[in-house]
Amino acid sequence: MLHIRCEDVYLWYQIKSNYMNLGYSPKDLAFDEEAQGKLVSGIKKLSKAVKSTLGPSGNTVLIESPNHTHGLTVTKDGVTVAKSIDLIDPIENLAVKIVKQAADRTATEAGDGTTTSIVLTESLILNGLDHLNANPSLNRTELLRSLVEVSDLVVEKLKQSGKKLTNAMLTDVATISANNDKNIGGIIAGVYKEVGKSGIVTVERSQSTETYAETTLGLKIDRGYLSPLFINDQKKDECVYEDVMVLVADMEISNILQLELVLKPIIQENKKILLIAPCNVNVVNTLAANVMKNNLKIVAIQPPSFGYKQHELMQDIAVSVGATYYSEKTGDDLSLINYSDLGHAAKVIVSSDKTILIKSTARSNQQTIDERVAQLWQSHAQAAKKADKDFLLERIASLTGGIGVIYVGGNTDLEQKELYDRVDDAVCAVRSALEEGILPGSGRALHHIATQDTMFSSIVPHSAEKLAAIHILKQSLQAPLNQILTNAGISVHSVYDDVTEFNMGYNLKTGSHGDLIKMGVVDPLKVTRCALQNAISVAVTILSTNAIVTMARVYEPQP
Amino acid sequence: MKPIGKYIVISNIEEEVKTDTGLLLSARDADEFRYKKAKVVASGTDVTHIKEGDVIHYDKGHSFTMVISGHHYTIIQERDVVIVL
Repeated sequence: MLHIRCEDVYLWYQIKSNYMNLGYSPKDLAFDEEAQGKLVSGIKKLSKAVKSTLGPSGNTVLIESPNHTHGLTVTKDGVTVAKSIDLIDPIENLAVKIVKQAADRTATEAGDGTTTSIVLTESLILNGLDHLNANPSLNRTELLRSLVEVSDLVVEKLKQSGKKLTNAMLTDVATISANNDKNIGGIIAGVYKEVGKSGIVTVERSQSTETYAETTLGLKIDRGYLSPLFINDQKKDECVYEDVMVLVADMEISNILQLELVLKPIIQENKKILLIAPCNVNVVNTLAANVMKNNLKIVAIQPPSFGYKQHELMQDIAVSVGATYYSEKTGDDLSLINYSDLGHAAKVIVSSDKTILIKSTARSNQQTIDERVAQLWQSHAQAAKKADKDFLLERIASLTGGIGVIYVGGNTDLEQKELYDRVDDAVCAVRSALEEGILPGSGRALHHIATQDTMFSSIVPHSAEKLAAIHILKQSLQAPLNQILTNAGISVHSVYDDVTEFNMGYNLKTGSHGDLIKMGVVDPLKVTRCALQNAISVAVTILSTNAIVTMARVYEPQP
Repeated sequence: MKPIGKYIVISNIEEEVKTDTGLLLSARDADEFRYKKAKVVASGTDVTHIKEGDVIHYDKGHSFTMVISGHHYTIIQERDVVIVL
């Protein structure tokens, strides 16, 4: 176990008070070796805490933090450890901030690989400095440029080596990303098998101690019936209709006669209709009265969510049921709505707090849906925040038709939080694997490229800088594998000296050699790729830094 | 009881309102219509076209109610009647 003690809990700092009245905040400057030395020591500290969690034999880290439940967190998740660290030295802290940003980006993009990214960053920086110090004649700018060039080649190579994820491998990827929890791996894989590869899986906290999954095939709206009088299945308190027309509008229906045109054919042909629109109380009562006394088959729900999200969700619903979306925002007039503007669903199940639409092809157009899904994937790729990404994924899921939710439970808040992080990571990693494919895990893919692949030897180094860049990358790419073995207390030479093939490697869990992919020791390509690209980006930034400006401050013990 | 001049005494007909399409309207929906249905109880001395027992539609905005020996009646003038059925 590794303990991080935050000394700044006992200290407080202030900007030097003498300067307070000057009207500007004074700065401390640091240059050259001093600056870089501090940056490096910051990264080393962060990395030391984070890298001990890497691999199947990774250690647990205890974090004291007021941001977490009960003031502490137990985790094996690199992101959580990294996020919890702030250092007291302003320059060291700057370095930590930069690395954290990169790690965060990796986690947001690929769902995993934070730790790998940090290990790579540290190694790239240390090796880079070694080369620069040992050989002062090297042109730093040229070296950094070469570093980026060569790393692009490595990324290319990784992409070529990626293998498609089979159903059988799904469980392995999920298990590994959940820090080798077989049970979780099984649950995640099960959900993905049910919702299909384009389906979406989200993670939520369970109300019970158990961890379980639920899947919905169809479109789910987080809104229930507007009146309990719509219930027609008393046993389940649900309103269930098959072969239903769907009205989609976001303007309030204030008078039932606005719907006359739409309701006429419904009533005369004894059809069923789901209204997704805000209704005023009187309209709801009238509808309910018609259901009760007049035997009409109507159910009404509110539109989901609020604001811009509502608009987007309603458009999705309209597209997937093939309805015309009547919106206030586009100046539509609800009294013009007629029967041909309705969409169609094979079945609707409306309960008190949610509605599930099972889609039919009667009115919707698969091509429009596909186009919309493609657009959403594009926005997903561009979205920067995790919340935005998740929202887009939910929308894609509701359009493509499969949504799975994993409810994470735990005996204590602490256990639940730790498990939630792991499950969230694992789900994201499986998604990455489905997107781009997989590589042999345990850091082996990068290790193989660095040590045995012909890629590096095929590069003709035109300059001393390029040669140095190749050396730096060769050494750094081995770092993740080395770290995983170090965490398990095994030396690289004892297990990797005789191994030459790309897929072959040492399985830490079983303690045997073999085909890593077959044994299920795999990493999503996207995770490895993002980790490397982000690590290079940070390393280049730090290596090219020569002057650092920080706020001048003094630390005093708390009175 | 004999109303004087153009006054007419009527009594409202309360019934479930259904539209032509078969949609049942609640009392509140029905209330939103300006004209209501009623039966004429007695018509004034100067009223020519409306006689006792006629079913009419009248402008409810210009109507007043009164109670005579326990019965609720509505009082309107002849010009408030729009349709005699």
